[in-house]
Amino acid sequence: MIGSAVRKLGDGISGGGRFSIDSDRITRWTLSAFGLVLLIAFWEAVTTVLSLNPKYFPGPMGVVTELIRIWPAIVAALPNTLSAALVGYLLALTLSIVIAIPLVASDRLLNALMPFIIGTNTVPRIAMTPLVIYWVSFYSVSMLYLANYVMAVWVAFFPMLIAAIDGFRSIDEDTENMLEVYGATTWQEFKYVRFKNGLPFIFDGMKIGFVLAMIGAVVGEFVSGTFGIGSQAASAIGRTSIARAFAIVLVLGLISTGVVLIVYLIESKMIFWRESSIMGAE
Amino acid sequence: MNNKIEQQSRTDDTESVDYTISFDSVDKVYGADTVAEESVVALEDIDLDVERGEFVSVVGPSGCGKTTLLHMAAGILDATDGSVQINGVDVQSPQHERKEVGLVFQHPVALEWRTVRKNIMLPVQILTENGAIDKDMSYYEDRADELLSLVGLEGFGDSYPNELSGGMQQRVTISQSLIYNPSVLLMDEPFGSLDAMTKDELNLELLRIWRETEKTILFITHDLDEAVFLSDRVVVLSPRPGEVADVIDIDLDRPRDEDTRGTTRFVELSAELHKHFKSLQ
Repeated sequence: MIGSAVRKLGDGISGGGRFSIDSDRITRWTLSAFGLVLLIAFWEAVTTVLSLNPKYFPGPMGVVTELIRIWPAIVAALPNTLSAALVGYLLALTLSIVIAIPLVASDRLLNALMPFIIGTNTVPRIAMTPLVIYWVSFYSVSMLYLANYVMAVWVAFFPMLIAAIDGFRSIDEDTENMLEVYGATTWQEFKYVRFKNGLPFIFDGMKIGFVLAMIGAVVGEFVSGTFGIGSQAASAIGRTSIARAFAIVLVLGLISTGVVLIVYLIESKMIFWRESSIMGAE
Repeated sequence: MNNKIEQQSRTDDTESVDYTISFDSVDKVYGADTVAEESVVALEDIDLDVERGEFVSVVGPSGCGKTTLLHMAAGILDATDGSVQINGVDVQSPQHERKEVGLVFQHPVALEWRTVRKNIMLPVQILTENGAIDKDMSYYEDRADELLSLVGLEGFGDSYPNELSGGMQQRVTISQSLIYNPSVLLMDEPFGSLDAMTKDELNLELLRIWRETEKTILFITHDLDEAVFLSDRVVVLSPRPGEVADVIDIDLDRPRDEDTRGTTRFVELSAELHKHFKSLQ
């Protein structure tokens, strides 16, 4: 039940789809590249044929030109945003695993906290951004950028926690009985079975998690106005520089895709016993 | 050589009959401790003693509590009333020695990320860490090799479970339950999910392993012919609540082989068992 919720969330973000590296991967990659080129050509054609005002509806060429023009500004703004997203992501990942262990080890603890966890996961956590910024500014205005880190953790943590809980719990009854016959301790259950068995779930969570951490960090900047690529995007939109906003979104998208791809590659190396899915959805 | 004789001489030595697995007036009621739920009596007044070295099968219609019976012997489930003992020790008491019991499930439980050899060694790692066994790791590593050849899996030690067929995976599970040399082997329809040919082949192999390792086996199955072929005694459970309806002695000669199934005695015993079974429904 929880797992399907996570997977649905993944669907919403990634659009689902299952890509795997195997015999006919070349065909698939070729088709993907072809689809992408077709889409870009269509976009360019629409803007040209309808002679849309490039100020409001820029075509792909306009976006790329703008991207090249503002590249130095993007490079300057990226480190802040990326470090908030990455550090927040790794922190959320670590927390999710560390917290999932006692929850799975104790049914009572899990039952007591599950309503809170599911409830918080369902809430649009992004809506808490102003509150988070308020609290951080209360602590230190000069360290307002910390709000972006907090937002990254806050947005990414719960789906990854649920993925970890789901993963650690997903051992079948016979395996559980087998461990009991051997008299395995709770720790031995984790060490020998639950950690490895939960990996596919955890990697699914990690793929969704980075995208969410990025959203948290960028929205944090939107609202706090601290220097970074998110605040650059917000000011671009504020000044009706649509091409610029598109260029920034393009960069963010490429970075997220890159990280998801890296996670996928690590996954297919680590989980050699089954096929990995490139998106966090099956 | 002949198991029956060996078993006989052993019991003579110890004077009193030496029961390895012993159910004494065992009841199992599900939901007995909750007020809200309706309780279900799964097993009632089970008295069953399995002698050292004996091969006993339990048959019965689905839902008669066969698996429950086995899980109680394995210490996975508590008896509601009465006691279950292995080698004279209550399975729920702290003195119960886990290394005395091996359990084989209906479905193979090999871990996908461990090689066959490492799967077989898993119980050794757990039991050693918990101080339940104290022989050298190298002793068990040698034993794993012996078991691999005993179950016909030479050369597959470094394979992964998903590279093996269902029948081969079940051989891994059997080796895993034998690695720490338990005196008792509990088997829950271990060949239930295999095709008929593989099943017959593994039946013969199980008899050979049993003869060579001199285990006490409690075997659950819904296949009456399989029960007759393998066992010294077949226990018939009645459904809801599960009670011992019949115990049939199987006096077929040992060692048994492919031809045993064709003998008149086998056909008679099988017919008798089918008749008993039918009268339950």
